[in-house]
Amino acid sequence: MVGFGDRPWAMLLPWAWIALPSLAVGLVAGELVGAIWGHRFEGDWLLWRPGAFELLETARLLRREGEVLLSLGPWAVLAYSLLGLAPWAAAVVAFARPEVTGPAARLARAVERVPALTFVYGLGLVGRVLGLLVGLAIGGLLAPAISGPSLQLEAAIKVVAALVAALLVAVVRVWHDLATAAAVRHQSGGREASITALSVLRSRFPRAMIGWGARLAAGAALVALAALATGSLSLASSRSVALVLLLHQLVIGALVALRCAWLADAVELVGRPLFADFFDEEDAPSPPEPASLESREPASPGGSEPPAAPGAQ
Amino acid sequence: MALLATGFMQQGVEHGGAAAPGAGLRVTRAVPVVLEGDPEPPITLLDGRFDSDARLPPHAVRVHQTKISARLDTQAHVVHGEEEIRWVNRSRVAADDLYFHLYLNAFKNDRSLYLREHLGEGRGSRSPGDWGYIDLTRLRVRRAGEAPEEAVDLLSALDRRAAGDPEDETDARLPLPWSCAPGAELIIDLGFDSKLPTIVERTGYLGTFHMVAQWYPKLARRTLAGEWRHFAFHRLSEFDADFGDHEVSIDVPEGFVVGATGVEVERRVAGGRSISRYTQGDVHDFAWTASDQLEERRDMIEGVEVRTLSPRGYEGVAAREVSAVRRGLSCLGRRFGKYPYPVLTIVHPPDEAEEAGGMEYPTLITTGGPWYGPPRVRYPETLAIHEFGHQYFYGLIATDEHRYPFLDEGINSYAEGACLGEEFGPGNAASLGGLELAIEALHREGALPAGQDDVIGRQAADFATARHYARLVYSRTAVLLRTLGGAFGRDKVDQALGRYARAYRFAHPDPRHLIAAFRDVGGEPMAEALRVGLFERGWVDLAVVEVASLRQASGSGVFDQLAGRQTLTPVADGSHHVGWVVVVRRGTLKLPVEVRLIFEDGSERRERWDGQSEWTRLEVSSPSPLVAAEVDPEGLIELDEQLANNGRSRFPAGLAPRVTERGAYGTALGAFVVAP
Repeated sequence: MVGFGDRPWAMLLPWAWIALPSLAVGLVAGELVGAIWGHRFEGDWLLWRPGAFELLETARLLRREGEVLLSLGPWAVLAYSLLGLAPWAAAVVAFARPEVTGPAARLARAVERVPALTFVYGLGLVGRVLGLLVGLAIGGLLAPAISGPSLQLEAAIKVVAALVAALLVAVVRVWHDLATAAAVRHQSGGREASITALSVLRSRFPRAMIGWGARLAAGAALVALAALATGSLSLASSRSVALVLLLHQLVIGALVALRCAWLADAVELVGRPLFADFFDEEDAPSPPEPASLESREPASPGGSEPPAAPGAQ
Repeated sequence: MALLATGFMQQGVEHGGAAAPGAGLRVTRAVPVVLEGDPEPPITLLDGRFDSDARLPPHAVRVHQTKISARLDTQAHVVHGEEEIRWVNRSRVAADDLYFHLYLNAFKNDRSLYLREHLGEGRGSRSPGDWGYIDLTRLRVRRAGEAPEEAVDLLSALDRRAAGDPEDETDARLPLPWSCAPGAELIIDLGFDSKLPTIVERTGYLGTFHMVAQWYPKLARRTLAGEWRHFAFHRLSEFDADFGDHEVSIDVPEGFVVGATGVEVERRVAGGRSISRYTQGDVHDFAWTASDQLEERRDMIEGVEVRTLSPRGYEGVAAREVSAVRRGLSCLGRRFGKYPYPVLTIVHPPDEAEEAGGMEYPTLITTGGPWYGPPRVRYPETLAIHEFGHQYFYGLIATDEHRYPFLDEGINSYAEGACLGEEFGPGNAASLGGLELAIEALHREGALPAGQDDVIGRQAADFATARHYARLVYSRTAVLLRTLGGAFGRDKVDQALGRYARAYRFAHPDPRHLIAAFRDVGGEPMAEALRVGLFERGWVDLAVVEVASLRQASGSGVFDQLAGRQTLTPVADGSHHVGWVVVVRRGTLKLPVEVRLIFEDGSERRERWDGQSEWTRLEVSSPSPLVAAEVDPEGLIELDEQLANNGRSRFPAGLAPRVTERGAYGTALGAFVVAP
């Protein structure tokens, strides 16, 4: 099995997808704020003065830019997110197809999968919106109806509704990652990858959720630890700013590594094509299985062998 | 004596204008703000005697005794009332008429002045779903000493459109059949039915929750000079009334919880009804609430019984409100004199009745907000302490809220920030993830955009928009007082406000009393800055416009000396530098400030500038080159229009390093959320 540990460089492209644009955003923000506070002796340190007078003034002075950002923001985020399909798929290529080496080759293979991944991405968005709608429906409609005059019961139901919505969104997230892995692993279309991911999720739900949740929890803990560590730094000198910058980039790197580790897990979970006989002959995914995987999971495209448990090794 | 604000201004005077055929054009413009008439009470020197509670008056001059018997019909949302007012003419002039405020008629139809005013979004901008009004069923007046049967029926004589508006019925004039001499007493016997609207602003019902405010026929205030301070109910306007004793019995269905102004002295249950009797002296209004959805909590704080009524499930936020009131009783009592009443009732309306919240009545306040909310976002505390602060600025120092809303809302906003600041420091609005957000900073952001548009000291009904009213009356007044504190000393501003509050307890002061108090404590410059800030759109922008430094050199050139003419070439003295700074003051507020000079070796020097001139140039000789300067380095002049130009460095940075770093990190973390 090829896991993240065997392919540490797989994180290079996703890391670049995160680090480079974020650095650009930081530089633009720094330039804008620098134009306002740069001639003050303390510079932008003033923005963190207790009371937040300077911070609010900055927000007022940059209101127009903020409005532009708000109007363009959702589209920019969507475009940015879609641009991430190939880099993240390239990471999955590294785990699923170890014979493909080098970032350029992996990226090329990943780009081939972009149509399928876009389909999966769209379904994922719809799924998340539906998850939120279910939460809103429980909280906004059901809670007042079934709680009667008890505000406490209504409040409790609303909390449960929020948790249900969060859980549904998380499940869709996991399904999305599994579908991405399936699309790359089996070079299948979006529809097939979606069904494979759904099947895997149904049969290996605890493992998938724990695998994803453990990385999420580790990432959150890492971010919190970094916040604690940097909170004690004064940021009064350029050296401390550089130190924090370095620390934060290490955190980003670690988060990318955690996500890559989960994606490697996802590749393992989707294993071989499930219910291959479910598809028509020509629709059936027929990936040229990599040698290392073939040895564990004999591929039987179109075969009648009962499907092994997803991710079975 | 009149205090006249100059130039500009706003709404108030109407002019006809050219209009296209078939179209109407109504033009309103600003009118000058005028303080006219003799100040009442007379302005006296406020010296150190008013720094303590020793001279606090124990009681108000009682102008009326009001007895009401009220029965609430919770199905029809009607209060059936019987009222007796014993009114004494405390003015120096005989009264030929009486004025009543019938405020519920503001919600009678959409032609009332209140509902006709288009002042933008905000509180009170929605029409009621169910109309509210007050019907008088009986109005008889007799003189003290006359038998009840001698009372004259004057119901038909009541002019309900006394404000001069043909469609508004909130201000009513009653001509008297006889003149009421100074010191004479009238007994007014009224019957009324008050139909409550759905909650619009301050008053109304929502289901079984009833907030019964501005609900009874209420006499206007009569000044010593014999002028009735009557006015129609405007959307932005609050109230003005005389002090008196109130005794109100409230009859509600059994199982309903009642909260009201004053002390409950009796409660009995009969025939499925619960009847409570409340009494309170030295107050100028009476409000109450009744609901079968409220839970009660009682606390005894500094000898005051604090009763909190909140919906079930709101125990957490109610506890925070009680805690804020505990802070208020201590902080405001220390600053403005001890709270004199034995009770305080806090009413937290249900969420959907939010427009009933955030309001003050004597010994009763309403709060609001959801049951949840981060504990370090101090909205419940802010609202509770603000409304409690009105027990002083409105309740005890009974200024005319219609004419001078800044005297209650503005000073109270200042006091609210000061008291929360004592407990929570610069994070008195919120402390979140290392961000300490101050109420004062929020006030400043509210105040600055409106400061050039209008004056603070305008009467409530004359503001162009609700937004201007809020920004100027609440925020800009608070920021102005903070600024004066920063310039002249916080202790001086607090002392002046303390003396003003103690000296005019149970009185009806106006802005001249406040300005005089500032003069007595801080001298003419502080008083003048306050006057300009309130009535002349006073503003200020301090800026460092130049910072320079040169290495000090010996003289060079041609010099005629005793020994003859010498031509010298410059010899640099590496050990000394000459630096200079130019600071300008833009605007009309002349405030003393500090200027901070920063040298290359890390040393600093502070200079005081009285701020009287338009600019100042500071030249300094030092062993280390001057690298930067800042005016008002501690940010004490909160009214300063721009903080960014308060400092200047000889070596400005083009990029903000911390924002760059944090922006990049924050974006990167966000990228994980949207990662495909």
